[in-house]
Amino acid sequence: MVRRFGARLIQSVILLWIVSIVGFSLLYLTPGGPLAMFAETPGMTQEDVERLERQLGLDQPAPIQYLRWAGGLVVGDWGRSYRDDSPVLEVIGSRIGQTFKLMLAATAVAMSVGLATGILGAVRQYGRFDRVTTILTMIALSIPTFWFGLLVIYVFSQRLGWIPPGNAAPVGDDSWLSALHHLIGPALVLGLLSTAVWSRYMRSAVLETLAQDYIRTARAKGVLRSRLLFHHVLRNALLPMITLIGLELPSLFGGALVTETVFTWPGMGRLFFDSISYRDYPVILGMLIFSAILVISSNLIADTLYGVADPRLRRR
Amino acid sequence: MSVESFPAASAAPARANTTVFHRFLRRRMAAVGLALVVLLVLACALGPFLLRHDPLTINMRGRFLLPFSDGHVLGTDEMGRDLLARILDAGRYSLLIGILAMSISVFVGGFVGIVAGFYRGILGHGLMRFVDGMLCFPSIFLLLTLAALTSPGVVTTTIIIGLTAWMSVARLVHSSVQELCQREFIAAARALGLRDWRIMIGELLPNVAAPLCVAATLIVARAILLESYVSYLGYGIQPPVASWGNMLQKAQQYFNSAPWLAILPGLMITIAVAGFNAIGDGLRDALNPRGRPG
Repeated sequence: MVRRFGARLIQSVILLWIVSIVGFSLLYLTPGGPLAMFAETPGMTQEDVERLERQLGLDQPAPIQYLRWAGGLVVGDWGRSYRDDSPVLEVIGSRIGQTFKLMLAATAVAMSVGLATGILGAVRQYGRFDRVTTILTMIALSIPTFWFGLLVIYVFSQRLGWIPPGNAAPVGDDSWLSALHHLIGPALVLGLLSTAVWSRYMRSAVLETLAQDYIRTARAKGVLRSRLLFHHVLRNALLPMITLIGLELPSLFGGALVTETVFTWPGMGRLFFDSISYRDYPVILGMLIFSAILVISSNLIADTLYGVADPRLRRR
Repeated sequence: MSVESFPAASAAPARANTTVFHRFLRRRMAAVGLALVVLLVLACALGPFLLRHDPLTINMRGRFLLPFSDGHVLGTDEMGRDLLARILDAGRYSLLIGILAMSISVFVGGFVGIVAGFYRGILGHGLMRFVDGMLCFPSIFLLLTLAALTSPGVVTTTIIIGLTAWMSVARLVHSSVQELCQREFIAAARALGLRDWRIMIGELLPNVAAPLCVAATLIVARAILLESYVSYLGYGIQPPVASWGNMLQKAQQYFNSAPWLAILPGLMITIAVAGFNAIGDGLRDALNPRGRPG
């Protein structure tokens, strides 16, 4: 168990190192470079741009720049924003709370609705409920998040006035009711896609378990339906779902970006959007690395949890 | 033991083809998806020739016309341009970008997957670790970063989408190829002294074609979605060229006064993506009879 975790940990660190190289070269290789904006700024001469280049260390060869940046990454100095010179980690830290809140709420929706519909659909495969949810999940998987967000705002905010049209609760308004009120719209929109994914996975996991021999044995022994479902089927079918949290994270994070722009939610998505329009390279790179760290560590945690939860893997 | 997961390799080709197609059509969702996609492609390909209106002609006196007024079936937009003509013209770009980006993804992903699966060693491991690394970034992040830092347009958008969607293909092909390389026909091909590239193209490629087709269809769906995101956010297809994504960008402002401007393009995206998704799912089940029906 510990050895398994150790091996996965080393793999994760290596992966992180690869990610840092990929991320850095991606930005380094794109044409234009971070100073393209300044070259067009009227007040700045060519000399100013060159001075700035030296000042920021951008005249150094790529490997040197990478080592400097990666060295800083390890000790927690992720560089400074070109926009207002504040440390990248601080900039990200100031926004991440709102995004986590949104992602957590969306995952809660996705897990409860997705798991329930998946189980119900599988128990009566090809029944009426199953048919309807199969079609609905297909639509949910295909609907563009931002468009669904626009529809939700139009119907529930502008027409019905049930939810605010966007933004988190205003500063100074600390009541959790207001926070929740603002959270409902974006959480439902972000949660829709994950709900469909969870429902599909759960359905096929239950179907797969139902086809096992030991289920047939249990049925033959006359185990009650409810006990069969909760005790025999779900115990096994729910286990692999742990890893789904890790697998779903990249798309959830990406979806958060889109949802946040539609609902003007003050999180990482808006920060990312602002940063790419300002060509704020250190922040963009920082956010890419941050999201990758999040994905890698959640996969590591999900894997480890799976190992702990499944006794069949524990012995190995 | 893995014979069943590669039906193209095991069953007689002629019979396999008809049964795969029949199995595909027997699934109602897949058949509906195929019908939707065919309809959509035909409408976008032929529609603009049959319409009286041009997608770019501006008519400031006929702005925001309601659907079914003045010969405009779907009404007009904020510049008085015929919405139906624009939707069909936008569909050409959206569908074409989806299919071309998929081709890039399948080519790059298939190439990397086959090479990495065939040459284990440092090359294979290095390639697959690179794939793992790329998959750690949320694809929207990757896509928007590249789109924002390069000059936007139809060609760059297509290439960038293609280059951010190939990793899943590589992983899929890689695992299939690794499994195939254990089998006897590859050993036989090696014993015959076939060149490496002939084994890869002549022996391995046909055997991964089935899963590759499934992945390709699903990637078209994803590419259409991604294109709409990027264009909606202003970094993809630039006006006056219309795509379903960038039509929504403008329409958002007029949601209250002219909701059909925002509803229709989004509906087209959903239909196209759902159609390709349904085809992909249907193909997967039809090509893999052992797999659970779903």
